[in-house]
Amino acid sequence: MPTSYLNKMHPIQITYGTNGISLPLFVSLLLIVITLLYILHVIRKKNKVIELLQEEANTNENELNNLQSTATRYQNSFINSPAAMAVLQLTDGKILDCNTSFEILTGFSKSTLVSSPASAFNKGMFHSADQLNEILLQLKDKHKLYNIEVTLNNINGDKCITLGSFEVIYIDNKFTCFATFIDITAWKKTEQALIDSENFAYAALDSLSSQIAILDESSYPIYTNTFWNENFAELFSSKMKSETGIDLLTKFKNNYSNAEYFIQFAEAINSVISGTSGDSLFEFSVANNDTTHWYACRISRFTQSEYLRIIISIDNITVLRKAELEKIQSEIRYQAIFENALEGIFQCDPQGNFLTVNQALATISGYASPAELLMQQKDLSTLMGFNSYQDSAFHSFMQTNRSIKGIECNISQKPGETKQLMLKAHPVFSNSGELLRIEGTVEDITERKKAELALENSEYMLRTIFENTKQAFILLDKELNILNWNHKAQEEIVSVTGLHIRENTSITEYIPRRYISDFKDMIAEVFEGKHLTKQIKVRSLNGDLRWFEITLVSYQNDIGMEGFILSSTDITMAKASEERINNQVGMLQKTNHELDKFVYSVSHDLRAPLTSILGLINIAMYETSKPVLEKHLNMISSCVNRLDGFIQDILNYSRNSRQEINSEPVNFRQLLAETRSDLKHMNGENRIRIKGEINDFTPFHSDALRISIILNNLLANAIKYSDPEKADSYIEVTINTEPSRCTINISDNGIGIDAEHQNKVFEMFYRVSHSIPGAGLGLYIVKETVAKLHGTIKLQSKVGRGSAFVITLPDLSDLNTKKRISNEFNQESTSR
Amino acid sequence: MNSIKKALLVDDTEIDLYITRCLMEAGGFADEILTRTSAMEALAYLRINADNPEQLPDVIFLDIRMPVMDGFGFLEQFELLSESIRNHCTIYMLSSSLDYEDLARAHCNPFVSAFLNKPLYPETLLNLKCQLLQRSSLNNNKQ
Repeated sequence: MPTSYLNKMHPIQITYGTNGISLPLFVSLLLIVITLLYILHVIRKKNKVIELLQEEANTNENELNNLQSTATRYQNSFINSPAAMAVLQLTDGKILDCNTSFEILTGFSKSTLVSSPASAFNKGMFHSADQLNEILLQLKDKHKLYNIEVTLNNINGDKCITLGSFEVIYIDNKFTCFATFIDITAWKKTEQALIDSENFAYAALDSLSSQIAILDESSYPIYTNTFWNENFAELFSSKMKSETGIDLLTKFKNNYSNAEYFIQFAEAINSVISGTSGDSLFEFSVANNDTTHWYACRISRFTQSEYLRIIISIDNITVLRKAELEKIQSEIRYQAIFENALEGIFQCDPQGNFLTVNQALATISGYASPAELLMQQKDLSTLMGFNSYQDSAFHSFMQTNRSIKGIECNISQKPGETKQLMLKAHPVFSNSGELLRIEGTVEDITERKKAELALENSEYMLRTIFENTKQAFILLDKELNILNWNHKAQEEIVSVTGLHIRENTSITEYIPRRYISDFKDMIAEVFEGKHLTKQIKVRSLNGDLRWFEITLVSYQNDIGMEGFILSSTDITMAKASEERINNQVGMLQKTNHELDKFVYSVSHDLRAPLTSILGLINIAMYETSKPVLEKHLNMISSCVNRLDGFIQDILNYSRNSRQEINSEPVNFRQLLAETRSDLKHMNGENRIRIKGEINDFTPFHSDALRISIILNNLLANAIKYSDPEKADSYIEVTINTEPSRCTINISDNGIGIDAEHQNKVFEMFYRVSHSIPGAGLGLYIVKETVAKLHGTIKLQSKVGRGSAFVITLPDLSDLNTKKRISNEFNQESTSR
Repeated sequence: MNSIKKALLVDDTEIDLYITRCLMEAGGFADEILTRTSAMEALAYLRINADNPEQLPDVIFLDIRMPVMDGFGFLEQFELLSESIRNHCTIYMLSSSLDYEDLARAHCNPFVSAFLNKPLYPETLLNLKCQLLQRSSLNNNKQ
C-alpha cells in the first residue's frame, strides 16, 4: 500500500475523492498501518523478543492482510449501507463524513454537509440542537448510545424521525462520533395511527350506553367500559388487577349464591369460551329493593392477533320491557274491546278481504262466530252487498286515504227481512304511503232507522197539523226574529200587510205601526213569565174589518229562554156574534127594564081601577038610595073604561114592538078621518077645532096601522091637554109627503108642557097632569112607533101657549134595502 | 080626646077620594074630612096652616102613584116642614100598589105609621081610629 498516498492525505480533514475509495476502507487501512508501526517500534526497543516479534510480525502481516481485506469490506459496507451513517466531530457534531444513505435521508450532498461549519448547519439539521449536545456530552462518559429517537430536518424542512446509534471511535488520531440513523418516520406514523384508532375505539365504547366488557380466553377482563364499571363492577372490572385468570363460575357460585343470573351469566361465558355454542343471547332481571331491572346480554367471541377474545354487551331493557308489558296489557284490553264491542269491527287487507272480524260483526251479519263469517264471506264488499258503483267508490276512497264516515247498506239475510247497516271505514297507510289495511266498524241501525222514520212521521203529522190549523203561528227567537211560521200565518200577514214572511226578518216589520209599542209591552210582560192574549182590530188590504186574538207565549228548552210563539186566531165571526149578543143583551136589558116598569105599573094602574070598583061596591052595599046607587054605577063604569083604555094602550104598545112592519101606500086623508071619528066620544072633543092640511102628491110607503097609532095618540093628547081657558082651542095637523120621506106636524094651543118635563114625557108611564086621566103610555108608544118606522120625533112646547110635535118618517117602499142599510149602520157603529 | 078632628085625604083619583070619604063618614072616623088631588096642593095646605094647629089634619091618608109628585115626593117635602106640623100629623099610606119596593120604602120612612091597601074596609078604619085615640090619650097623659 503506497504510504505517500496516505501521507498526502490531510491528517484531520478527510477528503473524499471521486475515485470510488470508500471511507471505512480507508480508516481500516489507516488503523492497520498505525498498528503495524507501533509493533515495529516495540520490536526495536525489545530485541529479546525479536524472534517472538518476528513470529508476531509474520502473524501481523497475515493479520494486516486480513485487516486490509476487512477494511475494504467495511469501506464498502459504510458506503453502501442502507442505514444512514455519518462521522461527527465529537466536540461540536460537525459532520466529517457520511454515506449515500445519509445523503438521501437528509437531501443534502456529502460535499455540502462536510464543507458546512458545525454550528450553522449540522445543529440546524438536528431538530433539537440541545439533544445533539446532550448526546455528545453523554458519549464522553458512556462511549456508546443506542436507539435514541432523533428527529432530523431534511432539505425541505420536513421532519424525519430516525433511530440513532452513536459510538466513539478513534480515527486519524482523533476521537470521533460514529452515528447511524435508521429512518422510522413511516413506522412512527403507523404507530400513531394505531394509538389513535385504539383511543377512538375505547372512547366509542365508553360513550356507549351499553355495558361492554372484553375478556381474554381465561376470562380475565381486558377492558370494561365506563357503564360497565358503573353498573357491573361487582362482577368484575378491568381495574381489578388481581382477577387474573379467575374461574368466573366458581367465583359467582361462591360470592353470589343467591344471584341466579350471575350463574347463568358465568355459564354462558364459559360455553362461549369453550366454543360449545356460538353467540349467547339471553335476558335476565335483577331485583333491587322494589325495582326490577331487565337486561339483555350478548356474549360473542372474536380473535385478536390469534388470541381468543370474549366480548360481553349488556343493555338495560327495563324501559323497553315495561313498554312491551304495557303494550301487551293494552293489547289485551283492546282485544277485550274488540271482542265485546256492540259494533262490528273488522280489519281488511287493501283489497277488502277480511283479516279479522269480531263477534259483533258476525252477529250483525247473521253468523254464529267470527270464524263462520270468515268461512262464508271473504270480503267486505260482498258482506255489505255493495253494487259495482259502491264497490269502486269504496276502494277509491281507501286508495286515496280518505275515511268513510258512514255508508248505509241494506242486507237481507232471510227472505223478507232487511237489515240496515252503517259502515264506517278508514284506510291505514304506511309511512311510505302504501295502503296497509282497511279498518272500520259496522253498526246495525235497523232499529234506529225505524225510530227515525217514526220520528219523521210524527214530525210530518205535527207539521200537517201545524200547517192546516186555523190558528196562525209564528215562532220567534229572543231578538224577535222569525224562525218559523205556518201557512195560515203567511196568509194572514199577506192579507193585512201585503208582505210575505221571510225567514230571519224581525216580526216588527209585519206589525202595523200603531201596534208596535203595544206589542213590545206584551213582549216585556211575557219575558216576566206570563203569557198574554190580546184582541186587536185590523183592516185588511181589501177593506174588511177583522178581529184577531193574539196570544204571545215564551217557550224554553233545556238551556233556558229561547224565544216566543206568536199565535193568532181570526175571531171576526166570534166578535160579530159577540157584538150581536151584546146588542141583544142591551135590548133584553131594555126590555127587562120595561117589564119591571110594566109590572110596577100593573100593580098600580091596572089594579087602581079595580080597587076603586071594589071600594064603590063596598059603599054601594049599604046604600039604599037609587040615585046614589046610580052614581056609584056610573063611577064603576068610568073605572072600567079607564081599565079598558089602559089595556088598549098596552095592546098598541105590544103590537108595535112585536109585529113586523108592513110597507104599503099610505092614505093620510083616510087615516086622519078615521082618527077623528075614533076621538069623537072623547070629552071636550066637540069644542076643539081640528084643522087638517095634507100635501100627499108624492106617494108614500110605510106602515099605515102604526101611523094611525101615532096620530091617534097625539090627537088624543092634544084634546086631553087642551086649555079650557081658551075660547078657541084648535089642533093643526099638517102632513107633507116628499120622495123618500114625509113630515107630520101636529101643533095645538093647549096647556103646553113645562120645559123640565119635556124630556120625560116620552118615558113609559110618565104622567104630567093629575087631573087628566091616562096611564102615561101614550107618548111612549108614539116614540117607540116612530123609531120602528125609522123616523124621528121632535117636541116644541111652552106652558100656556101650546105644543108642537114634528115627526119625520122615511119612505119604506124598499123595506129590505132599508133593513140591510140599518143593520150595517148598527154594526159599524158598535164595532167602533 | 074622644074623636079625630081632621083627616086629610091625598089622591089624584076623584073616585077613590069619594069612596074613602063615604067610608069615613059612614064610620064617623073624623069630625072633618079634607081632600086634595095632588101632593103639591096638600103640602100647600099644611104650610098655610103651620101656625094654626086647629086647622092641621090629625091624620093624612096618602096615595103613592100620583102625577108630577108622588107620595114619596110628598114625604120628602113633609120632612122639611116645621116640627109642630110633623108632630101633629099621623101619616098612612093608602095605595092599590102591591109592589114590594113601595111597601119597603113606606116602612122605612119614619113618618109613615102604616101601609094600607086599597080597597079600604070599614073595620080597618075602626081599628085605626082606636089606635089613634089610644096613642093621643097616652100622649095627653104624658103631658
